[in-house]
Amino acid sequence: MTNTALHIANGKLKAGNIVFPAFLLFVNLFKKPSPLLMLTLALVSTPIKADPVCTSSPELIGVRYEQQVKDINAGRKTLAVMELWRDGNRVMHVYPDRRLAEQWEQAESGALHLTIWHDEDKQGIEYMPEDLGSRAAPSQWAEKWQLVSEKLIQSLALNSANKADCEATLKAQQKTATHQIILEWNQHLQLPSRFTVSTTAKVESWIAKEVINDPQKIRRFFAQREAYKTTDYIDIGDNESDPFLRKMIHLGFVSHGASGFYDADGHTLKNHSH
Amino acid sequence: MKIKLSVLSSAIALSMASGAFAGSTQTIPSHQAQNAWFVQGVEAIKNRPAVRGHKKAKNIILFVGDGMGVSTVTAARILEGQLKGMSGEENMLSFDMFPYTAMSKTYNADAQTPDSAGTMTAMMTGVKTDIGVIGVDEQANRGDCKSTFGHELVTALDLAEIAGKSTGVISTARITHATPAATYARSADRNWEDISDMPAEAVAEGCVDIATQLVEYEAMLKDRFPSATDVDGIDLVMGGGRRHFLPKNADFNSPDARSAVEGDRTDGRDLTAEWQANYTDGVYVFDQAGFDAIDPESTSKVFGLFNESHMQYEADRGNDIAGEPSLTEMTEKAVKMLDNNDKGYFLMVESGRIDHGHHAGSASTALTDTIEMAKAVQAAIDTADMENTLIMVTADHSHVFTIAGYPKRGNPILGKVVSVGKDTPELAADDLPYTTLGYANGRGFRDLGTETNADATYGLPISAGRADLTAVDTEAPGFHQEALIPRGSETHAGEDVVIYGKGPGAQMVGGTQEQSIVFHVMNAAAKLEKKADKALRRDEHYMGRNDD
Repeated sequence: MTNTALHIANGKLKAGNIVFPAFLLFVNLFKKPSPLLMLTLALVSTPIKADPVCTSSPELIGVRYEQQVKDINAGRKTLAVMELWRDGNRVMHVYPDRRLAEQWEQAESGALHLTIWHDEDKQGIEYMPEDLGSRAAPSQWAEKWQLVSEKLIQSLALNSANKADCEATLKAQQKTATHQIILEWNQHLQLPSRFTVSTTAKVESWIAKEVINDPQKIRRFFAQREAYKTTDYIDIGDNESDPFLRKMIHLGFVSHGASGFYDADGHTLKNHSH
Repeated sequence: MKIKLSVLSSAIALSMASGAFAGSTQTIPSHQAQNAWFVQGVEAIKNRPAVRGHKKAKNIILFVGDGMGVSTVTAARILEGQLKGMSGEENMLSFDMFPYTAMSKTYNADAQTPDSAGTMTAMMTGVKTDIGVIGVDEQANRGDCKSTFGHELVTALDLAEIAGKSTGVISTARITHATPAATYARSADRNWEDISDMPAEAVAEGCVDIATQLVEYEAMLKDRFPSATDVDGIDLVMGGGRRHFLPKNADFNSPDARSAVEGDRTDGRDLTAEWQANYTDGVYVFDQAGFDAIDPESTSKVFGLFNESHMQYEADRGNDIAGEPSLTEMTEKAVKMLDNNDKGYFLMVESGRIDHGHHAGSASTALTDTIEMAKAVQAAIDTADMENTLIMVTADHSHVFTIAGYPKRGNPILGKVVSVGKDTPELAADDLPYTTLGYANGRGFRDLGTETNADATYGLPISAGRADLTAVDTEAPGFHQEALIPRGSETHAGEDVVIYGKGPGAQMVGGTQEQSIVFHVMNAAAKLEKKADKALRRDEHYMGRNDD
């Protein structure tokens, strides 16, 4: 299935077909806010239930997001699911539709280490910091951990009277002549509870639907994938006899403009430049 | 698929009839001595200038440039010359000046274009084998633990150990990677670098991961040869790959860990601690400062693991967190340490990342590592007792790396082609300039400016095919050459590589040979097998007397 997502090109919000769930795109939306955009803050209600939120540790948690699109003509439909799981200094972004997960870890040096888990083949590809270039810079950690940049979070000053309220959600809103972007931010979980981009034609939202706070379940979730066989990205070229790695290399069928990241079938994972 | 060497059957029969090496030794098992590849190597050596009457080698140093094909040597030679202010083509790398050379046929027993596991096994044991397996013959099946039983091979390093020589293994790759592993390990799969890489079935069947085989090398060799009393373990180990020796627990992280949890081992074992417990006089080091503190004259054992995974490219070494020694520094220190043994030494030095630079499509990186290996060879020549030391330099395989066009003499080897008599770049039929160096496949063009880490290209889109290089500085370290066929990783190539020889026994290096000849030259030059057999007979004699 191909998901419809939004991206900004030449300062304009556009709809386009991408392969990879584009939840993380809103990181970029807020990275360099246009002076034309107006940012407003407000307290709003969270779409996820309060009990699991209030009893959850933000460092040991799983959150299930749904991508919903409400088209003026076609109505509402759910397009994709994305899960975020945290365990200490490990965070995993899971894309069940593609049977794929990205696990990011931060070393003491601050550098980021990425493992892409391919659930279909039960194998992982490890990317060392030097394989990732600037994307492994310590400054990128916040985007992996909380899906939005620290710069944006710092701009969302929370009223001190509301800090104890685990349900409190900050709302950041940007408006232009063509679209509206709304981010609802849960301070306790340090995660978005809803992200919405609206145009005159449709409204696309990523909504936190479920919070998992069972420590055993979360640790099992990580352990299950960490038991997969792993290969360094740099070593793929020496392992062509492995059918999975051969698919990764995908002789002769890698299209130009690919991201450099591949799924188990050798398809390019686009929009990977968070 | 097992290749039947029918053409060699007559050689086997001849060898058996003549009572040559096959089946006549204690140390090398009969399945190895009678293996067709091994017998062929014995015969090939007989056709070379005789060892008899020549001085024997006490010490052996084998340099392996991983992926250092002929075009890599040529381009590195020119680059080194141009960096010295010369035109370049007339320059000679240190090993270019070796008096003996041979062509080495690199194919694996089951593969036209080989990998490092099969090729290094051939060089270390005299037996060609299948792609992906280490230290076992081609009857073993990759990934099948039980199939290796009875097919384990004895390596040149094993023979040196049994003979009482000092031994050392150096690599800029992970020390458990295929090339260094083939000096000391036997494994159904090159990727079984630690226990977490192995299927449970293989562990249950009794196969042991490569890192454990390194740390327990002494005990495992003594198990195979109980009467080998001179075996005292590998004296010097330096390389990368700490992850395979540490538990999967952040508490065991090294100070310069690059991952949140550095270790991969799922059995809870800290093999670095076990090594230190076994060799209380030895020194475990993980950074430049620790390396610098090693006194080679007074240190008995060294275990250096300088990186969680592979060590840095030479061009990128300055950016390492805790600092890493260069290949030259490691080689020099190794020779100074290993030569303390009157019986001599065996040392294998691998420049493991020439291969990785090529896989990433970065000629600059691959050539910089090749030049560094040439420096390491010179350091060995300068440090070792060359009256008694055989140095061999070779590669395990080549890469699809080309030197093309008609650039004029002295044209920058990393530059665009400028024809004879011209000052501006030549244009191809598409009216675009092109570089002298290129790849037949791979990730293709990249303009990363001053980026010295070749692996940075892996995070970017594949861009094989032609690019407009008009405004691109192709001599910058971040430039990646164009590639024809788009692939996630540039590949090995199947043409011959060169074997260079210098020192006692080097006269046996010549002609076009199977790659397994490397073992036979070392064996004949230093009488490794004969000395190991003698040591075993002596030790059995004394053990028998003690039993009485």
